Amino acid sequence: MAVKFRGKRYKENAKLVPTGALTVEKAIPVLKGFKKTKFDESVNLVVHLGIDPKQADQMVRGSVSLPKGIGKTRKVIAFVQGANVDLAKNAGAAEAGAEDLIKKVSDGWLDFDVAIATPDMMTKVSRLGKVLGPQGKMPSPKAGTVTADVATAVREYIAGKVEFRNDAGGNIHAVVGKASFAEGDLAANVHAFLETIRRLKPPTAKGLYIKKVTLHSTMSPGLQLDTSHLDAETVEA
Amino acid sequence: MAVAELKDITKAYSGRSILRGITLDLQPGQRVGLVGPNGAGKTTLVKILAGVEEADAGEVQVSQQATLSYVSQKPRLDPESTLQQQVSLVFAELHAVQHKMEQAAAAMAEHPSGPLHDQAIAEYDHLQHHFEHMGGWDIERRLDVVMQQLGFKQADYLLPIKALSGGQKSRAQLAQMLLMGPDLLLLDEPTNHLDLPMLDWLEQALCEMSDAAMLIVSHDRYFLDSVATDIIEMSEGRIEHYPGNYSDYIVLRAERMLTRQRQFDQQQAFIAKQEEYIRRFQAGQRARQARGRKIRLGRLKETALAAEPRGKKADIILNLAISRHSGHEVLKVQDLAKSFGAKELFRALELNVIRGSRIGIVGPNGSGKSTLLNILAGNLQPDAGTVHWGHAVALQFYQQEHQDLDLKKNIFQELRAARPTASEQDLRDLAALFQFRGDDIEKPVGVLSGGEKARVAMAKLLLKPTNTILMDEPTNHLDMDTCRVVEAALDSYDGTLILVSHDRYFLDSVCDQLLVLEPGDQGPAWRLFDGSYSEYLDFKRAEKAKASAQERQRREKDNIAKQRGSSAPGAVKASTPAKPTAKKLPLHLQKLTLDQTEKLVHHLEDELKLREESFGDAAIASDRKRVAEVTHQCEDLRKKISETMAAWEAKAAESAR
Repeated sequence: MAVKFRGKRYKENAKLVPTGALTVEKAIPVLKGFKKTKFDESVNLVVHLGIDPKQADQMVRGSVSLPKGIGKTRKVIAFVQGANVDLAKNAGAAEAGAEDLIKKVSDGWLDFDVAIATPDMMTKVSRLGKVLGPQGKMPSPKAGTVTADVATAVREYIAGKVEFRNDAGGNIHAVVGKASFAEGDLAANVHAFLETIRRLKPPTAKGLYIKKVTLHSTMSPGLQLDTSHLDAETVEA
Repeated sequence: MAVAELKDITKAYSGRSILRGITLDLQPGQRVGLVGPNGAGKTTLVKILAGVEEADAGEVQVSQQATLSYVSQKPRLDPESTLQQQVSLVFAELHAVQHKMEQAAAAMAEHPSGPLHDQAIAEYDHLQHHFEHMGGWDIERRLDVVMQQLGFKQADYLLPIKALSGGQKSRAQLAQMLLMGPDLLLLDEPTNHLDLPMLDWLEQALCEMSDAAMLIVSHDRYFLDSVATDIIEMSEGRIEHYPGNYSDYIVLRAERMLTRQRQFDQQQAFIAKQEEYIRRFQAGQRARQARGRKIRLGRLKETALAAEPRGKKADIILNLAISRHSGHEVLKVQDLAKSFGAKELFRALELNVIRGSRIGIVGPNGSGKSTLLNILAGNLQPDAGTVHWGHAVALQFYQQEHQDLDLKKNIFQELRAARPTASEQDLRDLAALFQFRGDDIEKPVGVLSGGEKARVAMAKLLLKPTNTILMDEPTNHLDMDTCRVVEAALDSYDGTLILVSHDRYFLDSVCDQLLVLEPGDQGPAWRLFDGSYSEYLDFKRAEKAKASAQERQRREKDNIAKQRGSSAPGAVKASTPAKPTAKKLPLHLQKLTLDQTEKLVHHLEDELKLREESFGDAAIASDRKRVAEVTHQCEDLRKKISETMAAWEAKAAESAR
């Protein structure tokens, strides 16, 4: 196996990582104290869950509007018809429409981050499954992207609503802000995200649910967060 | 934990016991080769494990979570449906879920609000969740990838199954198996009809499925050598386990046989000694001791009597009769060409065969090997060219279908018809070599299985006086013992031999020259190779390695030329030369500043993202060539990004100093 290359800055930052798990409030100042790159790095959260990803009923998927946003806007399109077209466009959708938009996407146009659809459009949108599905852009009720209230959904996603789902290893990856955020803002986002994950615990998942949480920025080493309080709450829940 | 377990399985057909108390378990990652003579019950055992047949007694346990795939000897495919329809059957569950999703979506549209709407949304959500979890959005791409690996073209997808060759049907079954990604894999003669490149591919594919448990019935020794982690020998309704591949099995089996033979001989000597003692002293002074020994001997015979080692092979003595020697020049083929419709099989084929040659014809499925043999035998006419047989050539042709067998006659009559002058004992000895013992010889040919008919046809061929033999797939359906008989017979054969085979071991042991038919985009080609099949494979590997080395060199030269071109004054906007930062950095990166390197990283990452997104493009996803092209571009971009990142790190470190 090839040895992973680590840069000098990464190695220096790694020396600053304290041993053991940290609370969110202690971890964020350490993260912000790392040597910076020349761009505003994203701050990511990785949650390792005690689920069996092979079981369909233990899949964790959803979306959350973080209280402080994620520091960037996203390009949203809406599969809608009638009056909803104007509503979606007014809410900020990059494109909104029915057959014409479906054709455009099926012809290969994929320059958007999120696709939203009203329930009445799903029979037509399902034709785009093989295009949108592999990219994780297929509208889904669980992610809040199949909704009758298109305007709200468009606004939320543009403002940085985060969609997440577990991977084959039972991990969830999500952006929770930018390195330039204030410490309090980042902490609020992290807490909100973890709370959402905690609430989504599948009933069939056995044992410890939130096993490990790691916070890191785009090019920094990871900081392990203390999950003992989450675990206690999970058990109570 | 075992994926599957068999406990004390018994099975009989018409009073004849096939399986006698078989106990076996299959662990994840275990690839078990099941070997044994024709009729030993290998297929029956596999069918019982697959749930196709029921055992008379015993227990079959397959893990509830395990998915099972059974590839049968005769492909179970609907002849009327298309290739794509048949292979897609493995996605039946996903298609059903997709259909239900469409129904739920229609219900959502039909009921814009209210409880029915909420119910439809919940239903759709649940189904979509299940569909995504099973990889439903990806099925078309997966189908394309597997079909491409198995050598099918897009144009073949719509062909009906009945239009496919035997090899193609086998490949369709393998495609189903691969798409299913099973935990338990039962393969019954998977190598029958597969051409040699496909065999190599199958070996690799099976070895890559490292978590699956497999039970593989095969008579292909090379295949078992490459794939099997364990061998189970089946004989007389019982099994014996040997760890290792086929070569290990041969060594271990010989050792075990030797040990058992010695134990048996020692015990027989002991019994003889005791019996002699009993006989001498049963009525004399030592009558009491003699009685004691008689009782002990009786107990020994009841409980611990060593059986004579089974599987002891008779020495193979089979000399093929030569009618009379042919002339030195046996066959001369000139400028031979044959096409079927638009498909050209071969052209300008030249072949000079001299007496005693042993030529193997090899090539992929559909390259015209059997057609060539039929032309040589005079059963087919070529489009162009001539076939001239030499002086005093007595030709025998062994065909795949065994058309020359009289189904009404019994085995003995068939053999007698092949050589009327042979004694009954000679014919019985020959039949025994081909596994027909005792009353078997009285069986009518019509009731025999495919493998048994093949054995009769082979025995007949070996009996007929001849000096030139043409053979089409002689080892198909033959078990290993029979193969050994045929190999030994052909080894001592003085005449000329031209055969088609996909059995690498057989080709290696019988042929010393190859005629390779190679269909290509530029039309068919052929070549004669002096050497065994293994030597030919080595030669091909060396040829391939040489070609790829040349290609690499050419690319390197092109890159150097490009770099020189790009460093020419005014060629690139960002050509302000920076101080070389790291000696090991590639030339084009050394010349960039820190900012430029960073911009380059961003640019490359954007490019990569664009390429990755393009996988979802319907036009690309449906074109396998373009998918391969984009995959290649992504790999290149990833390499470039890591290289540029390293350069950026080095430059950043230097500027910090």
